[in-house]
Amino acid sequence: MTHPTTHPELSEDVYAVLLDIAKEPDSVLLSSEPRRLSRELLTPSDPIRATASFLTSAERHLLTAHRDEVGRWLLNIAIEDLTHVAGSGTRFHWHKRGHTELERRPLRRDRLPSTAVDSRGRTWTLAHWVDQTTDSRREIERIRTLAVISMRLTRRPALQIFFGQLDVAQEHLKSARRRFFEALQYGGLYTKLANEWLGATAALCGDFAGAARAYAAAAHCSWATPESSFFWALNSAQLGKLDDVREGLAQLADFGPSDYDYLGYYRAVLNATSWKPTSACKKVAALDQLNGTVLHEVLEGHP
Amino acid sequence: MTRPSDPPEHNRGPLAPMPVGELRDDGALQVQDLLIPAPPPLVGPSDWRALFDAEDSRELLERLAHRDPLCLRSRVLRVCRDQALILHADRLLLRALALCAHRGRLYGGSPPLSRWCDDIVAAAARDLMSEDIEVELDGEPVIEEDFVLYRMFVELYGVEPALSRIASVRFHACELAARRVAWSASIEGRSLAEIATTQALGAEAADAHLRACLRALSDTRRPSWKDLAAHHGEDVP
Repeated sequence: MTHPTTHPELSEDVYAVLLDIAKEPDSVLLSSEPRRLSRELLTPSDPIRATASFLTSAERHLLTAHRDEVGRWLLNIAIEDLTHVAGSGTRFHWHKRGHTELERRPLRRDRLPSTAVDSRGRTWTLAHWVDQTTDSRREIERIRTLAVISMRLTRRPALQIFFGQLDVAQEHLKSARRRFFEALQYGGLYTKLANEWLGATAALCGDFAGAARAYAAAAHCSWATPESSFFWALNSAQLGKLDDVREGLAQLADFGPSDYDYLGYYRAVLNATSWKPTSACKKVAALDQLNGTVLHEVLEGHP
Repeated sequence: MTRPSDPPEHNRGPLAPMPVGELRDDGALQVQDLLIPAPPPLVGPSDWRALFDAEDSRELLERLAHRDPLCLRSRVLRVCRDQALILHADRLLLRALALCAHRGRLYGGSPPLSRWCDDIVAAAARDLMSEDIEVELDGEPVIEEDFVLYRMFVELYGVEPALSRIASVRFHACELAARRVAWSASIEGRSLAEIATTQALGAEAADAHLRACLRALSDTRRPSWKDLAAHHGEDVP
């Protein structure tokens, strides 16, 4: 073949040597026209696909056989990032005790608010925050993409709840409710989480009866935590249903004293969301029977 | 002449970092964009205990792949440059990651972490080259999907893809000094005159080294066990 006069990568004197050697008998050099070097081959790249041709069978196995771990890993990052977006002032319904996904990932102190792992949250705080900036909405979209990819790798119950949270953050409440309803059937911690988020979503829509029902269900789950009972009582108070309020508060009292400042937490949540009591709630709150209860203390201090 | 540190626009491929918040069209690339949103943090000398404290190799692999705390990517580049290796960098990185995940849990603090990592990358490179010799030894043809592994020999020297693996084997069997000249000439695009200066070689020696490497590329004979043994006995990489 006729060799080109220049080489796209080599200097003239080097190419001259190459041409020289290529002319030797039995040389296999310059059998094809040299091309510009694909420099990505020289630089380790980010994408690592299981189908990539350069993978050995062992490496391909590593990526395909551990699809589940990769999916969980992506979800962990999405959860962490959502927590990060919402800021340390926001808390989530994710529990260290029951949610192993969060435990498996080493914590990065510079990114992860200390409250993210071991505390609880309110959806409306998240929605409130997300309303503030355009950047946060874009960030939520980015996180959603991450969660979608995670879902394509592996379907985990936590994903449905997580998508619901993202929906809430973007005020897609109908979609959020559908997801939380679906997650109800998962059982265990997921049923409790789904009920809490259903309650929060209903409250966002002004459906206090639905909220009270969902929180009551969450309060009766085996993974129940005090705030389910509190919000059960609170939403019942919005409806003026004293019996339900008392039942919720009785359930709350069963948890006993706690080192955690739930009172401050409840107040902070209500303040952050500009929560307003209905007239029925004001009447209930004024009843002497509720004196000394958590609900009374919270409502009494509420502006 | 384009230098590796300054690749032409059209040759940056999909690897250039994307602006924060923007996604590539390709889903697999998106994953990695999202996984590595920030420059990799360096692991301090005393942080290895926490890093390697994993239940199993899978968990450790997950950590190591995420954000590259051991800076294996840059180590891969450095080892390739120092040892004048023309290996597919992704292939080397993946092997190094796998070795780190396997050996990390046994690491006890010695040698220093940075050296341990460099040793791992060097061992990964040795493994890959051994494998190439072994498959050539067995006379297995290069399958089409493996062409990309050795494409640099096709692009740079016009070797037929079917002979690119043996060309790689022969290249890496050359002595280090010769490889360094060829690497600098091919990958960095330096002239022989520059190489003679920067590597403190005479012009004749630089020319001889380059010719030796290029001639080796044309040796398409199947390697022998002796070649394999020689590879294992080498100090490099």
